[in-house]
Amino acid sequence: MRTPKLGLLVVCVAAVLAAHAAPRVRAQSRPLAITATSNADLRTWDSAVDRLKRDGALRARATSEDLLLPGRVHERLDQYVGGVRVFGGDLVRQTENGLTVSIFGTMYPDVAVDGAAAMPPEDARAIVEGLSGAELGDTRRPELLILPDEAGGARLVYRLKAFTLENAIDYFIDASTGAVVLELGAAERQSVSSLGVGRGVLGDDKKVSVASLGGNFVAVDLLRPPSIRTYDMRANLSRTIDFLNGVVGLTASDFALSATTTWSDPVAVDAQAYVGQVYDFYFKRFGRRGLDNKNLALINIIHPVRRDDVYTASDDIIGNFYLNAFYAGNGVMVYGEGLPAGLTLGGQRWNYFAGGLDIIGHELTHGVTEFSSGLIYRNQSGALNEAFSDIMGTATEFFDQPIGDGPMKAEYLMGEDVVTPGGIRSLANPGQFGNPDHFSKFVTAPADAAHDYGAVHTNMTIATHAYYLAIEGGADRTSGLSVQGVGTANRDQIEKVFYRGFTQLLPSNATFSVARAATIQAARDLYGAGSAPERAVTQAWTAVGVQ
Amino acid sequence: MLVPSHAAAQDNWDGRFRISASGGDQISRDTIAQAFTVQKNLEAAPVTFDVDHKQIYWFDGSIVARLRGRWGVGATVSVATRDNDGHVGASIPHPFFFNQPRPIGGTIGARRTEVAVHLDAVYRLAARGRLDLSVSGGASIFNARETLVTDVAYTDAYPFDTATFASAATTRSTTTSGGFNVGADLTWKRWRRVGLGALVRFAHASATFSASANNTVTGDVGGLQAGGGLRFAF
Ligand SMILES: [Zn+2]
Repeated sequence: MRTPKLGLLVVCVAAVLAAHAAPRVRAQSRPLAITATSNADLRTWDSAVDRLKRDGALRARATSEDLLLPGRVHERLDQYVGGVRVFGGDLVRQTENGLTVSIFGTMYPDVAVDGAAAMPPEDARAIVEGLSGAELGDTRRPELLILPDEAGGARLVYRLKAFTLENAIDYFIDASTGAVVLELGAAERQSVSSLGVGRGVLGDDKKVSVASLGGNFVAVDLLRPPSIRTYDMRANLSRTIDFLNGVVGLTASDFALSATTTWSDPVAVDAQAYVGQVYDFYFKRFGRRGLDNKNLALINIIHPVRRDDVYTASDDIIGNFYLNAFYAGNGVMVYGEGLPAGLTLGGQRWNYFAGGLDIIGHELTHGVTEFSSGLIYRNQSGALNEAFSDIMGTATEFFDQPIGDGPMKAEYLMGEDVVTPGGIRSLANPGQFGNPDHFSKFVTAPADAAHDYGAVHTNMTIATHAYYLAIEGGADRTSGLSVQGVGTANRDQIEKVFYRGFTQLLPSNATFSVARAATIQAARDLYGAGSAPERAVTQAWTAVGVQ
Repeated sequence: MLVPSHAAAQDNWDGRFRISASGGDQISRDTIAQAFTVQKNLEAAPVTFDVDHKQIYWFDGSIVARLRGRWGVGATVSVATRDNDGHVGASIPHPFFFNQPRPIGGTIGARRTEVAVHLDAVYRLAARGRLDLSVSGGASIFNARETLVTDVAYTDAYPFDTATFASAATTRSTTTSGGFNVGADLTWKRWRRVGLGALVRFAHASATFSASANNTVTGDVGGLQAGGGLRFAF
């Protein structure tokens, strides 16, 4: 999406936004996508952004030094109206020695709400507790937001996450009426299928970084910069839910432990080792220090349920805690238990989810997204959120494992070491699993839980296939358009382009089109205009039908 | 007597005992090449220690008793010692991954000390005026001490893909072994009882030094000694 008659529009946007000194408004709140990379666009938007900052309509959320290009700085700004943040209204300004290089974002120029929140936040918490059946701890404070809707309206809402046995939902409660106006998936899952080592799950011997404690060894990594801890919930699902909701904290007695240095639980071994490897990948490849780039603690939750209890478990519990893995926010990952040996689903065996390096890379990347772009988990931005997780999960495999087919080999399948044979998705051939490889096959669906928040796990492969084509080259099966990839020896170039584009340039409400522009900009930033990576990324997005 | 007469000197030098005190340099092909493993990060870490003792200073004292005609017997106690720098090398396993060793290397000081007792048959080969040439040969017993490495210390930091040598733990290993020696002594009988001698001796034994049961190294002791000193006749 481009911005015609930009100068005039920007002036209008700035004037409208700055006019909202207090929550008063209603009106139309059509989103305005901003992709400013040309000199003319940048001049106009740069001064508008500065003015909006002075007026308080834009507030800095985070400013980060560029770890790949010294001298570059990325400033993330949230849109505020009357002191309240506009959900999905944010932009990212990239500067080099004070000069702006790019601005990507989504703004709601006309957004407005009337008056202040009629309801205190405690009421919103009570509503969510009533809706979810979950007891929420005091640390779970509702956030007051302005929520623009797709019809062009906007309202004041409280946002609060709740985890239950059946689900994990991000609730948006109308701050006046108490009505639920939006539910988003709070657990950004590995798959949506409702039916999901030391020696590792696949029988490979590996080292795990642990700590000695009271005569035992506990799964606490003291060697890597962040604290990496694995907690064994010993099939206590209600305690798991209480922890996820902040009602109870986990203690040393919850640590996965071993009486000797030889660990017998393959799930604890793989969870602890693989999370460390994913942290290593992000650090060595991109210089990133964990999910928040500040070494946020990484928490693994294993054995939330018992495998043999699957026969009596509800479909929701099976879908969430057996046949899935999810990132629960704030560095917490939960790994599904899989199915008992001999029990298959869809002709596939479902092993412990902690046994897949790409799965753990996928889940941790949801955390990277949480602390960077914040891609909203619905529709196109939700599909991009999932796509980036598959892209980085696959990149982790290629960083750590030899290229090839079979267990613990790097290829473009997702979850293939755990869900056998075949895995759950393919970046090389999305159609193999019924996923689209071209934007013309984009699936439009309601952005609710029943429809995977706009088919995010379906549409994601349009972007992951573009990533694949930019590396390996070849033709998109739908468009027939060919891409000259950079080659597998140069895969790090495309990994850096997508990492940069997705973590430093994308706004939270990005569309596929914005992702195209951001990754092309990232390629120019890193390798220059006309470079092989820029050409490959451009051709790849074109081949998958994203302009 | 300030200056001995030549005739008097001859008399004493044909006496029953001769005592020598000598010093010099020992050249050998002796290098210590230690190789062993220690456990680091749940894997075996190969460690090597190479030190070159090809040149060592020595001094000795000996006594020769004349038995019949040109034949005699001698006993020598020889001490050789030298500090040399040796190179420690190791491959330190990665803390996170099997089979991803990180090479380290550094230099430490090592001391070789050899105390040898040579029990020889001595034959006066020739005597011309003030010069006297003897040859000898016999058995040698060496007591040698060597610096051996028992462990290495290193520094590393996340992401632990490299490591740096910090120091090595050492022990002094002592061993006793038997060998042989052959030699020649040319003495210039300068005064009545005192002369100056030049000595060449080759002494050799093989010695096994041990730091622990599975940390041993076999090397040469002795070597080609050349030097000189004082000779006393009485
Ligand atoms: Zn996901």
